[in-house]
Amino acid sequence: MIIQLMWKISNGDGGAKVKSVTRNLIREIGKTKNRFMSIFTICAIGVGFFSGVRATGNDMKISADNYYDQHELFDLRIMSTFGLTEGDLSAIGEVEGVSAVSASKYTDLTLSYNGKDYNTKVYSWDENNQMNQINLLDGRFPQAEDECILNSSKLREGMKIGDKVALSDSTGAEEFPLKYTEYTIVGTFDTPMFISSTQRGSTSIGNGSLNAFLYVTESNFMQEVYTEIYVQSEKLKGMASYSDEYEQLRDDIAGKLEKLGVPRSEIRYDEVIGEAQQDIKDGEEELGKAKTEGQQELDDAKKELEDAAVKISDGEKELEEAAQEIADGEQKLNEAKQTLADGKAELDKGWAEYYENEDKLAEAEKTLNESRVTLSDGKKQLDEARQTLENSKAKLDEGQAEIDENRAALEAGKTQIAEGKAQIEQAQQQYDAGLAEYETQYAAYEQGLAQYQAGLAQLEQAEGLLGSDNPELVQQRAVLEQTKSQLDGAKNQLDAAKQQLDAAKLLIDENSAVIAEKEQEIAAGEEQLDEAQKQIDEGIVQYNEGLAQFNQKWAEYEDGVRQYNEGYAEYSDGLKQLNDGKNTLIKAEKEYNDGAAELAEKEQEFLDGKADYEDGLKELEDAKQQYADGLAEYEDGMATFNREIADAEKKIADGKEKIADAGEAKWYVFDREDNPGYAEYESNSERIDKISMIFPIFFLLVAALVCLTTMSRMIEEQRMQIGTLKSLGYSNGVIMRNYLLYAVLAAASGSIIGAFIGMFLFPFIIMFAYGMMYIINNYYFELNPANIIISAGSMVAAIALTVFFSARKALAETPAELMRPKAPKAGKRVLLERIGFIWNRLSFFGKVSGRNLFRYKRRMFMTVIGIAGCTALSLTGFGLKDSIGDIVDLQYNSINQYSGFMAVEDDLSQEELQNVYDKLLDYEPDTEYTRALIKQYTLSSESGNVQCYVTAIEDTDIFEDMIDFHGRTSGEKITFGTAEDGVIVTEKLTKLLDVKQGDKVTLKISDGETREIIVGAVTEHYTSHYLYISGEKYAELFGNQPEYNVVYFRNGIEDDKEVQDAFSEKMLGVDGVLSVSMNAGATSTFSNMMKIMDLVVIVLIVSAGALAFVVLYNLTNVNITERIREIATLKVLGFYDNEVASYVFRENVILSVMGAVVGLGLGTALCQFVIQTAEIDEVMFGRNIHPLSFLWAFLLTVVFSLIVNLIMRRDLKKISMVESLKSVE
Amino acid sequence: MAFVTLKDVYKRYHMGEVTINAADGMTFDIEKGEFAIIVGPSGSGKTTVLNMLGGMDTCDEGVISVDGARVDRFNRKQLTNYRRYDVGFIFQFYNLMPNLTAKENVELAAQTTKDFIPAAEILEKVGLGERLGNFPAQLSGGEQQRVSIARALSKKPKLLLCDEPTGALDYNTGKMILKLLQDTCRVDGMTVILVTHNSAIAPMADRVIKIKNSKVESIIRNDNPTHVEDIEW
Repeated sequence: MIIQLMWKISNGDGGAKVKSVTRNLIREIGKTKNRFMSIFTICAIGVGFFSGVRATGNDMKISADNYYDQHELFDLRIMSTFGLTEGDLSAIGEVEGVSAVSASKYTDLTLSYNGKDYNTKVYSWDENNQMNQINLLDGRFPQAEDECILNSSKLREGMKIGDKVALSDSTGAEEFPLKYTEYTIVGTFDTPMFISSTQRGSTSIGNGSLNAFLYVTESNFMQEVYTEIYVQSEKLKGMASYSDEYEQLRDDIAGKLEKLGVPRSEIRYDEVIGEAQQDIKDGEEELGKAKTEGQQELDDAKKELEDAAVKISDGEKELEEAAQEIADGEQKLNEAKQTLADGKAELDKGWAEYYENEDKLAEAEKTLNESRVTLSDGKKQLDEARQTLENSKAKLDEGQAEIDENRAALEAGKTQIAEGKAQIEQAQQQYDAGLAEYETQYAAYEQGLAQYQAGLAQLEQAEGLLGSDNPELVQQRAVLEQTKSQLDGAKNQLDAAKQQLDAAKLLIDENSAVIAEKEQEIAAGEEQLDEAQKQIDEGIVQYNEGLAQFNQKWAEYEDGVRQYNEGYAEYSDGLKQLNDGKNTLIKAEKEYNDGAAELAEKEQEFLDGKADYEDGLKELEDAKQQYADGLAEYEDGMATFNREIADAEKKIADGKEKIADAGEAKWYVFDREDNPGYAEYESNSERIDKISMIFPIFFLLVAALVCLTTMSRMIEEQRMQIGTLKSLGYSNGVIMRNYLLYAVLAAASGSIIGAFIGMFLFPFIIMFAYGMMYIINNYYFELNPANIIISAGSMVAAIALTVFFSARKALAETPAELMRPKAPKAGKRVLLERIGFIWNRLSFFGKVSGRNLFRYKRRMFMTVIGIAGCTALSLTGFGLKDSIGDIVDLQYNSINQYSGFMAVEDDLSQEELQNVYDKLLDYEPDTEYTRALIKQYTLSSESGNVQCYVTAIEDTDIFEDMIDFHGRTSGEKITFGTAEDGVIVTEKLTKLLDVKQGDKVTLKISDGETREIIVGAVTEHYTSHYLYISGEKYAELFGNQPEYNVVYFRNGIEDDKEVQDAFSEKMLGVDGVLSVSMNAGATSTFSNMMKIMDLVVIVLIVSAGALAFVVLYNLTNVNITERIREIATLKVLGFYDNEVASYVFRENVILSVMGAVVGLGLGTALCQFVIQTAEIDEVMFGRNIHPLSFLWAFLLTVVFSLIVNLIMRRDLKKISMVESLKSVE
Repeated sequence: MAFVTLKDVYKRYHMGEVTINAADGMTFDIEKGEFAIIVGPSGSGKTTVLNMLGGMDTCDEGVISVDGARVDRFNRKQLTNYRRYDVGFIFQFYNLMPNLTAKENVELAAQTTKDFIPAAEILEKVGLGERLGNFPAQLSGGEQQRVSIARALSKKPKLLLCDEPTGALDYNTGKMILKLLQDTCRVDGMTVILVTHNSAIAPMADRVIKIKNSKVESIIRNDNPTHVEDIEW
């Protein structure tokens, strides 16, 4: 449905309306990032945790299976008391279902390194073997026989590649099983046969527990038969290692092999015993023959030695003759060498002369060539000089012509100047005349002016006397005025004339200057011309000199040419003479070479002869040496012969004894379960499976609950928007789709991302934790669709349904109702207010918070439940850790009071038994001990069958000190006396059988034979299942006396590994003691395993913590969004930031504390439930949660709540008053 | 200097590329003890002015001074103190705490200051002496607004700021509220600034500041304010 919706929307199927609604949705997501991310994160954590933890168990098994397959681990392993042969190998290969077989040898030895001993299994290594592939970690495989590779974890104890380790046999066998006792480590490895790095299995040597294993090349093994044969089946390989189908088929094949073992063992027995008998008979015969043959051989040798002595003296004589011959040959050879050397000297001299002459000729030729070049160069230079001379002559002629031309031009210029001068003189004269005229006129004018001024003075005088009105005076004035005007006219004319004159004068001066300049130019021109003429004259002189030189050079050149021709003729003659000389020399040389070759041949012949002689000499020496050796050998042989005869006689005697001792031949078929760590790994993975049954579901529930709360409140908040959309005509479906999409988008994306991260993260962390204990280091992850679909699907569906119902409720209302702000829930008095003595003591804000809390009951419950869920999850995590951690302490320190127990042979005689006891008392006189028979039987009730150890005790009084029998809840002490029928049963066993004290259970003692037993008392017990009875009760039930196979002891031994190992080793050395198990030793193995469980639990706690954090954040966020108006109002009223924060957070903290308290109760129940579900059958977990765990779970929640509040303070501060109060309008 | 002074006050909102001026250089004065009405159409910026005056919002530029203090220069803490001690706010939708009784709502405000009028006394004064124990949901709109006024007055503010106090009330109730506010101004000498889009009630004010397009359009000083009872709209 959801996918369809999204499809429709993305296709625009819903039209424009849907588009804008979708836009609205995207905007809504952006606006409510916090809420969207909260849902996203909660879903991611919830689904991630669920799908991850649930996948882990399976992933562990797959990883292991892949590891086994990759390393070709065997499916079945066969051993025989008589060893296995090639015949066995091929017979096994033919069994139906067997697809591959492989054989190997091994032996248990003590490895010594750095003063310490290690119980070591030494395997044969065959590089062609494909089965149980070794994973070489470092170094290389052994090549030489004295090389070995060592299992990797031993490196931690200081051993390293290149070190030597010593091997020794502590069993006291007469023959050491390997070729060498010291091996060099060349590499380290892991093997799929030993996957646990803490458990190595057991051995029959040392303290009984295996410490190391190594591989050496197969040729090292002295034994011929195989120790083990490994079997693989193609069909089994295709199955998952720990699956039921695997186990069934494996058991089928094992059955067939066991059946095959019966006849094969017989054959082997006959072969070995028959062979041995035959060997002895043959040996005896051989011995007799050897005695006579040996003596004969010795005699022959003696004779041979004597012959050799004669041969040696003959050889010596022959060699002396040869020496004389060699001396003669050498003299002849030296003479021939001298003759040849003389010839060679002469020849060399001839050649030297030839080369000298050749050099001289070459020199002459070079000189000739050089002079030819010089001559032709000279010719070229002369030609060039001639050309230059001609060119300069032409240039000189040209220059003379130019000079003549210029001189003519100068003459013309001189004439023009003279004319100009004459003109200027004329103008000067005219000017002088004009000036005189002007001066004359000017004098006349000045005179007139003086007259006029005199007249005017008079007139003014007269006017002063007569008054200005006098007509005469008036007339006079007029005359005067006229005169004045005439005078002014003259003056003007004069000024004009003066101006003209000045202009003329200026022109004259200018022209004079020009003329002077021209004159200067002419003078300069003449000077230049004279200079040029001088140069031309000098040029002509130079030209004539050059011509004379040229003529002289030309004569010299012609002389040179003649000399060259003469030289060339001389050179040609010389060359001919030289060539003749060369031919003569070559002929002489050839003769010499022939002679030399002959000499070399003769010399080689001589050397060969000499070498032969030397060889002969050496041969003689060798022969002498051989003779001496032969003599020594002969003496040794004599000694050996005597010793071997003695040895053989002893062997025959031993063989006879062995045959008498040899037991029965029998096959044993083992499967992988017997590999140390193999089964344990399975139970570890199953433990994880069990934990993942219930814990993740609760986890998911809390996550879903919080998401639901968030979404339903979102719808409530969006009433107004829903109303608006409705009033705009959007259909209910489209609006619904909007909110559905929002919710589904957040939940689905979170779930999917969470699922994919979780699917890898959780298995990885847990497998990584187990990786510390197992060598399985390749991690496989299987996509488990069921887990993802269940978790993601239920998450998304739950949220979608919530939105659907909430939205449907809202959509049922009319737009008008929706758009009106929903009347805030009416305030009312809460119950608390009626309790006056509390209410009256609360502060004002205390009262406010109190009322707020109880007003929104639903919110309160949702918050409290959400927080409680997280607290419960944390507490469960802590509780699980406590329960598992307690097992070791409770079982091994409180309940098991014994120091250890020894497995002893069940048919010990009284003396042997007393010897064991004596050894115990030797070690510590104050030792308590008693015997017991431990054997596994099937116990059943109506609820099912359980394998348990029936333990029959020889002395129950002492045994009550060994194990603290008591009821877990009652704490009441239990004794065999108080328990009904003297039967004490461990608690987990009664739980599995679903019986209680007084009930009857059925014990199957053999096929078809059962006994009814009453559960007499139930005792607290954590590991494995036991049914304790007294020896007498056993005899009564089974009808025979118990054959005790175990001795429990309590000797207060120090809890120190070395002390305990020393003790174990000591006791193992006692006859009849098969193994020693120390209580403290079991503790350490178990606590190792528990350490890993701790890590797993930490993963749970951290996940729960993460969920708690997100849940708190989300709830607080929702709370703030809901009450934003109230918060804004407080801000407007001038509340400080911290006052506002405390107003909001006071309620949160109260809710967190309430939630945490409720969560502690819920967690206690959940923890009990998880523990009971998670328990594996073999082990009962502790049932107590430590007080500190309650405290931690509580504090974790409260601290997270405070952190969230701190983060939210920021958001509170950011709330804008204006925006928040406006929104209602 | 006047009791309340705004000088060249600017408030800008940036919406991506666009800048919107909610206050575009507003300047006006209001004297102590005056009843001032800021009137203008929706979106003209009157509420912005009131928010800035009340210290709920800050201005980008300009001077806002109240009783000599430069509100525009206040930091966050000073603004909170200013709201706490100097200003009383009345909203259109009352903004009462729904989960507190009338008396508790008033007491809530009184929690912030030492010098306050006891809740019972002030509620008596606004005519709710009988309804002290009622929750807001049990009160009518007018009564709720009275609680809101009582809450504002209880801490003896210097300035009473009212944002459309009658906007959600019917005519008669609205008139009663306005009368209460006017009386508070006249009798107690409280400086009241009221924001409304209803220009009909302008005559009751001592000073009417008309705002349009984020600017002050006119300031009219009314020497003879009309009594609320005599105004009809």
